[in-house]
Amino acid sequence: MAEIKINDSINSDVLVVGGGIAGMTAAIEIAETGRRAVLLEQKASLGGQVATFHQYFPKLCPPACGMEINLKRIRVNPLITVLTLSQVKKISGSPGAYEAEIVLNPRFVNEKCTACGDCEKACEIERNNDFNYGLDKTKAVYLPHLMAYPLRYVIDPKFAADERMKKCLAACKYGAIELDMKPRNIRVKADAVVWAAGWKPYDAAKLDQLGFGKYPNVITNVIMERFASLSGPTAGKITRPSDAKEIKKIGFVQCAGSRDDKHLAYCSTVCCTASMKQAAYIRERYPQAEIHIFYIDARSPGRLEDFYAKLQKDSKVFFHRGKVGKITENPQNKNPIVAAENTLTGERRALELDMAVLATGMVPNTLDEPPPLNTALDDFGFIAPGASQGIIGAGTAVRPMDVSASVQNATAAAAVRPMDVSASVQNATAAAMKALALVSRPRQPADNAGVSLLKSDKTPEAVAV
Amino acid sequence: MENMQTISPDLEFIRNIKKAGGQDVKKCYQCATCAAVCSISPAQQPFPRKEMLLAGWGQKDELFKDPDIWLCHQCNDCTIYCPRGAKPGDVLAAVRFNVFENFAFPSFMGRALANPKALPLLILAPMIIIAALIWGATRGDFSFLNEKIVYSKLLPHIWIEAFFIPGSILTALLALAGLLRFWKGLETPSLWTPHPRPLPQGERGFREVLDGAVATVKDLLTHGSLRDCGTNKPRAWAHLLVFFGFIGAAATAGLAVLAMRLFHLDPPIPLAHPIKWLGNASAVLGIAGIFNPGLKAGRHSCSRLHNLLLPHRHRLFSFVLCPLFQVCPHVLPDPGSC
Repeated sequence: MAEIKINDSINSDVLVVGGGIAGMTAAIEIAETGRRAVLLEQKASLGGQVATFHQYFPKLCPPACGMEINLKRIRVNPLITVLTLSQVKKISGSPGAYEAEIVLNPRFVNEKCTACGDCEKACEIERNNDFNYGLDKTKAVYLPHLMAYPLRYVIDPKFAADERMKKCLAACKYGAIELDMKPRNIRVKADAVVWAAGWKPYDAAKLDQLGFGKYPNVITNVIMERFASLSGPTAGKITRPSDAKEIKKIGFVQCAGSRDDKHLAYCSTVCCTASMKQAAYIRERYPQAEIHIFYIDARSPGRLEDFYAKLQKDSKVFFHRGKVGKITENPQNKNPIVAAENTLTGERRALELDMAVLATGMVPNTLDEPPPLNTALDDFGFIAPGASQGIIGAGTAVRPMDVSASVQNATAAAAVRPMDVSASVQNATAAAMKALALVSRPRQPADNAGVSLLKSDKTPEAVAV
Repeated sequence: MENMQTISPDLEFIRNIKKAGGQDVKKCYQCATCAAVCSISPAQQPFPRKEMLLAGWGQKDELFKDPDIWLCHQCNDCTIYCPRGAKPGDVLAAVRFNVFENFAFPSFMGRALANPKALPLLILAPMIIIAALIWGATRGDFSFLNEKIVYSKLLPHIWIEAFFIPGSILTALLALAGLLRFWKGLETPSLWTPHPRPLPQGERGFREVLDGAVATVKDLLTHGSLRDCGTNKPRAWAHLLVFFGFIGAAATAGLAVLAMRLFHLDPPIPLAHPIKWLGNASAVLGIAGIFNPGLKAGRHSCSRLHNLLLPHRHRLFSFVLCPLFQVCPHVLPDPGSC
């Protein structure tokens, strides 16, 4: 058995739940004021939804910019303890004195992993790649994604007991694979808890009239990000799932399930600009492609209006004011046909496209997995404003927002609403400030032996197995 | 800005729309999902999105001369997919109801139909007329009931013909008067609709009118448009059965009179006679249509109360109003929606 690198009980100042952009920001902000933070992530790597994006809006830079610097800030800060593959089982206590029971799920790969990839080559078993929405496969031992932190392989628990995994065990020359790893329970003591559980896209299969899941060439906005990403299933080629042909004429269906009392009653505030962003990068990569955007109200708040105005001038981008009511399919070529009325011209059209992208909204993860301690949620499952007496929400756990808002929000509190990336960052920063207000005792040195152990291994990170 | 015009909403009209089943009209935010999901809405100036705007803004005159409200088959795909629960299907029904109320001649009949309290009276009126005819024919002498039953002794054919033939002609004339009022309304120029309304072909030639008429009759006979409905598809078959049931019943009555007067085929017509077959077959069609189980299954999910009660009200209307007033229930708020 490899050595366990963290204590069974961690004393900390703030526990941050959720390792996406908001949670990372909150943990960093907390640690950079000299307090200790435990950053807990359910998946095998930090990064959350942002890591799946091809580009941020409006600057159209890849998520590596922003993520990289944050990962570095985490890596060099001994006050942050990162727990991946971890879940909160229970939290008790009150502001100033919380105790969380946490289960650490087995990664089956220990800290000796150098991400050399020998195990992957030896592995025969394949699994659906959920990071790419099942568009391709990975081996049963895989690297979560290129920016993975910790940069370490992980084994799908479904296959850990499979006899064929023995080959991977043999292939690893560092002794990093431990197929008998078991889940472990640990405790984290903290003065404050920041909840940055993030979001998931609305399930487009519930929109029966839009044909997602029925017609192969109807995809969603989050899937589009994977198609466009150079690390995605098509290495950046935007192709039709039915015949792998590159697109020439594509349509965006705004408010797919949003502002709809039968689906998501609210506006997620990011999908309009996200579609415009996708239109912009498609235009760049496929200058001949024709782009149609069907909207109810093009919502590009604040300075994003400039981005919208620029795109409106583009001769290949067509904005149609009117929601797509239904999508059918041309059975010969599998082209989706979108039906909509353009309310500005009073014409109803059925437009045949190569591919249709449903701009689905953000559903807070707190809807299905509410935070502990009876944290008050609003009607849609976001952490309610003013509910910060106990758990402090940050990022898209409080409202839909973009990345930058999320970072700001996390700085303020660390996880309460849906937002785009920028909103998410702002919100997270705000959350961190709120959390710090609850930390009353004087600053203490990093107290856990795990951190120093890792340091002696010359890996300057405090990462749980 | 010199083109700016002031429109004044007719608040009374909005209240009437709300009262007649369109209570959610103001929830509309003009996304146009309704116009896109509708299977019969045309490519140019589709409905019901523009009607939702006009209704919400109380533009009564515009709606009264809007032919599109009569194209609607109330299949309710729009209502199902409306993201705001504004129920365009019900709003259009409420508009039609208001038009009917407004143009009916004599006007008090329109108002009576609009008022649920008048319904018992409306049902009672023809019963009283029939009872009076029976009384007039028999003078209160019902001794013939002891003999072999002959229906014509209760109400002789000559009485029926003397009353109902002129009655039907009068009804037709009154309907025509209402229709003329409506037609005159259509011709009034207005702010919103260009006049004359542009036709898709751009021409109003005889050929176009004939083609249109042929297509319309064909669609009526096959219920093609109604069968394109997604949500309320089962209603198409129910309606088709009732529709041919009533046509058959009307044909039977007419043939029976002709057979009696021209060929002295006195009733009761023997069971083996084709006219009898036609009559019985029509009755079977009508009843099958009214009690079509699909009628209920095809409805979108409402509260349980609505599901239980309203189809029955619909059947009541079908039973009572259709034969007695030759008024079909479409002009009334659709009981299937809630």
